[in-house]
Amino acid sequence: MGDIIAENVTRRFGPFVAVDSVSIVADKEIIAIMGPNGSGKTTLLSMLGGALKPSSGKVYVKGIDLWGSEDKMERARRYIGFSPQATVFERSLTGYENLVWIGMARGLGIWGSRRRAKELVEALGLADHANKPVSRYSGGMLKRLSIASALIHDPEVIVLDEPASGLDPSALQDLWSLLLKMARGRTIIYSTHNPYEAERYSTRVFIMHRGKMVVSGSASELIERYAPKPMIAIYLPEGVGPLDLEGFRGTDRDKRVALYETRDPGRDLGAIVAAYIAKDYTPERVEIRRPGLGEVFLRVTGEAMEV
Amino acid sequence: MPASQYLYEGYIYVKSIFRERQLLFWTIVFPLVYLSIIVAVFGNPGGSNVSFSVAIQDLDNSTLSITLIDAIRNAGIYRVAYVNSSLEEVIRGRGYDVGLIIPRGFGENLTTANQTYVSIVYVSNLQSSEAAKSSLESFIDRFGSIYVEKIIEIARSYMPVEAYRYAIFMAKPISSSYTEVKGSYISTPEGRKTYYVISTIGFMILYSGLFTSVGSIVEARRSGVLQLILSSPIKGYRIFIARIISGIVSISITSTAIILLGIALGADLYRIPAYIWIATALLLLVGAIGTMGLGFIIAPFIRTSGAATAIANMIAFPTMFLGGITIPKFLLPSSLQIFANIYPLSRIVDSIRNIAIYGWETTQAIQYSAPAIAASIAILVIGWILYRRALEKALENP
Repeated sequence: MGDIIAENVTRRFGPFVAVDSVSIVADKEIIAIMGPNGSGKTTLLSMLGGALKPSSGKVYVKGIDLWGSEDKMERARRYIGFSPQATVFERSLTGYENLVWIGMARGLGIWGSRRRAKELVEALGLADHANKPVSRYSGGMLKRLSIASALIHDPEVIVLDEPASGLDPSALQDLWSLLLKMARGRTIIYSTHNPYEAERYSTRVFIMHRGKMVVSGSASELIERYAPKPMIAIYLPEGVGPLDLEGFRGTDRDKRVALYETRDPGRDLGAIVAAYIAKDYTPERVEIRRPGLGEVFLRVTGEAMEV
Repeated sequence: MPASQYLYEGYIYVKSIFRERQLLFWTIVFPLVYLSIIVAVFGNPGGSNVSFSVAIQDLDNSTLSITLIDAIRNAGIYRVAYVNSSLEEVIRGRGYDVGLIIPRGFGENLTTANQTYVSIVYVSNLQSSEAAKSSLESFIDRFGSIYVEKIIEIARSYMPVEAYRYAIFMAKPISSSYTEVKGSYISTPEGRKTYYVISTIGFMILYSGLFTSVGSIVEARRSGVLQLILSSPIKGYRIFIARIISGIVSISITSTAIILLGIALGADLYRIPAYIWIATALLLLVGAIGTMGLGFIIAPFIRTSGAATAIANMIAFPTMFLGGITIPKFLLPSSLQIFANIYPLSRIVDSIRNIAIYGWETTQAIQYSAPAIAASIAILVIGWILYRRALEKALENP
């Protein structure tokens, strides 16, 4: 049994099927949901986060039907912390006060909410801004506050819709060091457009396309199965053309870079470079291009990632 | 689950009130300005302040005409001015309530026992002018009677007893006696101000109650807060009660401000015993939840913030005047009194006035407002049923 189980979850908006029979089982792991814009990621996460009722299918959190009776809905939501894509706060209240009222609504009690709000503003690097009205927050600060709001009641399943959007690289790293700390014994499901983020921080990656879950697995499995082979890129000197060696796949950047596909770049790199030197051509630069989730994404959806 | 789930909306409200100018204005500034204006305009009892402006043309300029004008001036209810131009034009132009022309020969006729006359100019069908005319007419009649009585007194020693008795009878066939009684509490400045304090609280309950409830769903949906709440472990009835508590907090702050200003302006609310305050507070609470219940019935059908404001105004504005909340019920036409009698908040405000001003017992007031209490609770229950359905729908279509 998983912390969260989605069984054939479908969501229609009129005739449009936003999410089509998606199933997920997640148990104490970090799952990244990737997909092009309009692929149904936000709709799926809203259903898993308890904010949008599926048209059909079931979602169980800790074995409790998230969309069952009112009692069950309340119990299941105690285990979920959802941070929606759009940040929603009371604009005249400070970040700290917003966390307090959200904590109160989630049943922490006023003192419990205040204590937890203090912990979270510290943990998410908002302590210096905690007493400013959120109307004066930057996009990145609002995003961190939104994540804090999802964590306020210390949930076991954390659902985050694009937590990294609007964060600079350093804030992204801080966020993930916190999430990785929190992830122990918990399940995190999040959506992202960033293949690097998905590859680095997730135990499994799900790629959605047109409402369907098209592939899933660990990042390395997906790369192995769907990504093209690694490439060796030789940056050619002025006036030198590419050598037609084994694995030659053409050129890019105005014919200034020759590309060679190889299963084992470590083994073949020396031979390719030696072939150029033998012709008295010294490459300006040599690169090994290993494919990542971006390439997997492109392969399975036919669309490039918008990072 | 802790009680905090019922209080989160109230927390937001209390934290926001001094930061959002608009909220501060409608919660505190507006009701205080409103009460100040009402008390300044209507706060003093009517009788002692009534006065009429009289334009006088004295064509006689005799001792008696001057005596008459002095008597009018000293009566205390007339403001006298001499006018030389056409009185008809002056009165038509609404410069004065009434005009008086004392013709040439007025004094001579009176001293030579010839009937004389004065001319009163007024605007027909204009209440203030008609009232001024009647008042001045009575005053002049009384002046004539007193003059005749004085003449008879002077001539008494020359008259047979029977002739004297007959002359006195002719001068004043009916004599009035006067008994001065203390006016009811409402006729005092304090009573009048207490009346307006209660009316203003009723008026603010009507407005705040409707505005906090009619737009509750559409506003929360627009801001995205509804999605945040619905994904929280909180049951629908707690969301509903949290909203009601927030409305009650708002109304309590407003009512406290109104009461304090009322006392500062002279309403002697402190004379009301504590148990009546408690009964009054409970009645107001029922009035508030009934009003909010009405708003919750409407809330699920509202699609935009603008529509919420328009609908709340559309209900509150006529109700304020026609429901007997700010304008006393007895001043309304009988057809409109039916509405004022059945509208729950009107009846509750009425019963509070009856306790505070007309000396009703608390039990009497509760009996009087019992149908309104029952109706308020029924309205709230219907509001809850529709609100709950709206929350379920919001989960299906955020």
